[in-house]
Amino acid sequence: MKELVQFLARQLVNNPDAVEVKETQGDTASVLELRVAKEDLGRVIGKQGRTAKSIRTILNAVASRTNRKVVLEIIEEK
Amino acid sequence: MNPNDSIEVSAPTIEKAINQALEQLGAQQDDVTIEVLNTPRAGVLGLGARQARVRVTRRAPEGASSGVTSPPPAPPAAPKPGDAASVADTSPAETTHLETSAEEDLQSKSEPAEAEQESELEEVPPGAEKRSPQSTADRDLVAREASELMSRILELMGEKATVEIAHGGGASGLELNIKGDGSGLLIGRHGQTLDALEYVVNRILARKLKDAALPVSIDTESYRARRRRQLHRMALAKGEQAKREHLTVALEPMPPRDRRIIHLALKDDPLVTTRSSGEGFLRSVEIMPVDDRREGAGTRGRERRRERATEGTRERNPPGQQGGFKRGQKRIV
Repeated sequence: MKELVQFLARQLVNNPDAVEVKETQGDTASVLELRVAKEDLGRVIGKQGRTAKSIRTILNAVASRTNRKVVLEIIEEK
Repeated sequence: MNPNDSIEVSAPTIEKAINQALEQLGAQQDDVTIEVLNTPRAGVLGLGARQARVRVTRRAPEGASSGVTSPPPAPPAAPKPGDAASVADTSPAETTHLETSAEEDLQSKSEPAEAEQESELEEVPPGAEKRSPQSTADRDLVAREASELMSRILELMGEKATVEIAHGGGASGLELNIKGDGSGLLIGRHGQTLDALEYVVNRILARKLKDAALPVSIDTESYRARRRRQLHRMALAKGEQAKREHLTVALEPMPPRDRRIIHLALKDDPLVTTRSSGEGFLRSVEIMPVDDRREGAGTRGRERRRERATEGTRERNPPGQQGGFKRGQKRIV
């Protein structure tokens, strides 16, 4: 799951080296924190959040097999 | 004036049309008079799209000498090859519709064009010949990139599936078919997972291949075809309902691809009209019995949008300035 997000994000951005994904496993859910270079933030979010929404949809499809919930957070650095 | 020194040309933008016309006349912009006959319009879902159309007329004095070096050919034949080559992807049908004059009712005129699109493509050999070598290479490249990318994503998703390139995926697009375990996991509710995959793949390809990217559609277990048939049937049933009850039937919100199927399913039915309302992912189709409408089919949404646009301008310009402002803007190009 983490690798999937990492791969998709790296394909979408201009600075693939700046892509970082941190996975935190809970009891029933996993949280994936995605960090990208500031200028690439828009590329992983997309117009009206469409890209982010699509990535979440894909993740949920994968997660539905394991009966766990996945939350994708896109972290904006200050 | 020599009639051969005046030609009409269509292209996606006014600028392109003018350049093409100048090329055909072998003239400089300073030597000609340019009239814009039609402004371009992107259209909605391929409906109502319109190309820019200009008439370029050579001014008298220089006409004779340069006219010899490049005799302007008969208008219907000349614009075709050039147009088809550069423009074919956007709307090939329009380029051959040279007689099309100012269009009042957009929908009724552009829909036939839409329907003819495929046959028109085959009827224009010069354009087709010019296009095919390059676009075949492009298609192969896009197909390779797309199926590689899709395979990688499926692998990371933990899906045991193979990707094949389905041929004949339409004139300008490409179709990938995923052969999986048949669980429907890749389809999702109302195909939303499939749509998400398709969107992400297209985003990535657009970034990677820039202009060479083609729209890629992704299918699995013939879901798209099944959905198309199902929507078509529903459209006809709801159309009947609208006629029977003399009421506007509103369908649930759908993505553009699905709405288009509804519009096309009912476009030949003279007793109902369709239009879309709402914004973004809440946009949905309404089917109206024909006695309900006051004007031409489908133009109301467009008109309303235009009204809104002019209201906006009015607000920005103080009322007193408006007349003078307008007159100052009037210009022939």
